[in-house]
Amino acid sequence: MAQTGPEPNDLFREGALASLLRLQWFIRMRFVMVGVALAALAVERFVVPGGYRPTGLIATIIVTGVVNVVWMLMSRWVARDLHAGMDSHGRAMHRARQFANAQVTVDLLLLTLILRYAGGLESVLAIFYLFHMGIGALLLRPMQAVIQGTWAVVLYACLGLGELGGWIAPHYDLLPYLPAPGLYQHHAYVLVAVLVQAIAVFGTLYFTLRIAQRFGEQEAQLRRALTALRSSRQAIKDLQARRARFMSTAAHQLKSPLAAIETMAGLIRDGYVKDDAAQQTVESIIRRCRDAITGVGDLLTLARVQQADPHRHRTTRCSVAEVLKAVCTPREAEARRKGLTFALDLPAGDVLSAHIDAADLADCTDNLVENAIKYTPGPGAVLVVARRIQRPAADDAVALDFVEIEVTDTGIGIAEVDLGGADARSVRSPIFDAYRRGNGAIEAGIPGSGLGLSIVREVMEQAGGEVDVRSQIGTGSTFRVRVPAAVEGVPAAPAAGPLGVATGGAAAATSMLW
Amino acid sequence: MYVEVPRILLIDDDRDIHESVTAILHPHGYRVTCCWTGPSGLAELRRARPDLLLLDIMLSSPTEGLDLAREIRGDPEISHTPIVLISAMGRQNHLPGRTELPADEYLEKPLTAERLVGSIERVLRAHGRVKSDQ
Repeated sequence: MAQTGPEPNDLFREGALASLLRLQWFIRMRFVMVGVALAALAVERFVVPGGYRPTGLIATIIVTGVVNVVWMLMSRWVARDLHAGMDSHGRAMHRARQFANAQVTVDLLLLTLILRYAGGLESVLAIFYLFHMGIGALLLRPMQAVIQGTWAVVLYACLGLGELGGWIAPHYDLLPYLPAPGLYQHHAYVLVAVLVQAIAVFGTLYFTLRIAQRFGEQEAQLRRALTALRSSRQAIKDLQARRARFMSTAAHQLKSPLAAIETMAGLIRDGYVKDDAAQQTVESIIRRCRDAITGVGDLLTLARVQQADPHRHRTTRCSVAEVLKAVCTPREAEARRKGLTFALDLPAGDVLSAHIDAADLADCTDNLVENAIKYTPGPGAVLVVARRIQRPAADDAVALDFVEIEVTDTGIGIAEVDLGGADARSVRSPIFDAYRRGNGAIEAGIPGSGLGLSIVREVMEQAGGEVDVRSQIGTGSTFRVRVPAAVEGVPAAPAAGPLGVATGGAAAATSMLW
Repeated sequence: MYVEVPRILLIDDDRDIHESVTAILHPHGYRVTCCWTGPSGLAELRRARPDLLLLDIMLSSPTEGLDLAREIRGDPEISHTPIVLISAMGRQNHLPGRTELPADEYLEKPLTAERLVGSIERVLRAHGRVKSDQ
């Protein structure tokens, strides 16, 4: 049979078993019992001179002590394996359970022998059967505990019925100097005693097993909470590390234009720039000032998007068509000045309602359109298309409605290595990382903050959308974003987007600052 | 080995830094070649074997320049190239603790003519490639 993980209730039993083994609780109790019994018999011998005790009783108590020494030696071996880092649900735990099972089995047999020499069915020492049932139900698996209960009842019944039927010699009394009641000779008493003992044994088992089950469920809940806590702690540590890296990179990107400005101003001051070139250097200084301002603006946009409540998208409906018109109108003029043809293709009679914050969608699409124009030399073309599509959900069970926006250009394209390989065209592509820029863009000397695409990814992840890219050097690029469509009469999209990226607070926190 | 006109290769994604470095080094008798990216810079390094490499750390990714410097140091054909790393970020931000710098020197931006020329002369002298008039 294949090895499976422990049942939730076993978690508690295993914990209790391990603790008891470590403390050698069974062993200590048994040594105390043996010591107390032998001391009581010794005192009795002096206090009650006529008290006679059979050799069998003393021998059984001594055998219990000797067997206990064996258990003690074995328990060190079992406990060592259990705490030596072995698989806690594997062989060591199985061995520990067998060890406890064996102790209960032998204890019940020795207890019956002691009863045989100390009162038989009439002895009050029979209460110790119940003591073992409580321990067995807490530590053993339920079926093992029930078998031990049956074993106890069988032993007790054999003792009573054996004496009654004359198959075994009559027992010795617990207190031989008192008149013997002789109840063991009455059929009715023996039957009632065995029946009461059976009810007590299985009743104890039932209630203790139920309590152990409750403890087990609580233990499982605590362990799940602990696992979740550890995982959250790790997520927070990862987030802090990413935040530190991001801060360091952002500081560098903000310092770079300032450093270039200081260097160029120094060149003018120190006479490295001739008078006729000074004007050009001043223009460069002004341009770098603008770069710095743009970089700070993009950083503020990213911070705003990350800090906003990610649930706002699901409770919002915006017209993608209207947002695209607002974004594309000024960009179209810019494209034409650069000698590019520009087209916005929207379906007739459909406002393309979607669950996304309008301002965030505008930021997102404006970055894509701005990039398309920026990285396409004239003559060329930029095409923006929006349409309604159906995509399977994360579990492939239901097709969900999305609004897809596609921005295609005939520009310089992005090298496969910058996209992160042939298969990395999704949101995981490093081109969406903050401050990551393609070598082609750097080579062409096209300025950029390196934050535009990380803003796009952040918005899409929060809105439960998708983003992907296809590009080829010299041919152009196509960026595609899909946002959950808002359908009349249909409630907002579920929290988990088709990427499997939850849009809840915790997920948003971990997606911050890539 | 004495060099008449030391050739400096600059790898930096910032055009203004190209122009500034050229403006500073040219009057001091250096010939400067500029590359924008790591791959094109490495190809130029293998082809032209310059006397010194000025390498920006943050290129297309935050640590591309450091990775490139380590690659150069690990390639026996070009590992002897003197390297001066430049970056707007302090050295401790790139290489915390006692991590070894895969270069001869580190220069933090903003660059000034005095610091840049001083660093290049120091590194060239250490490699026995000082200008013949020094």
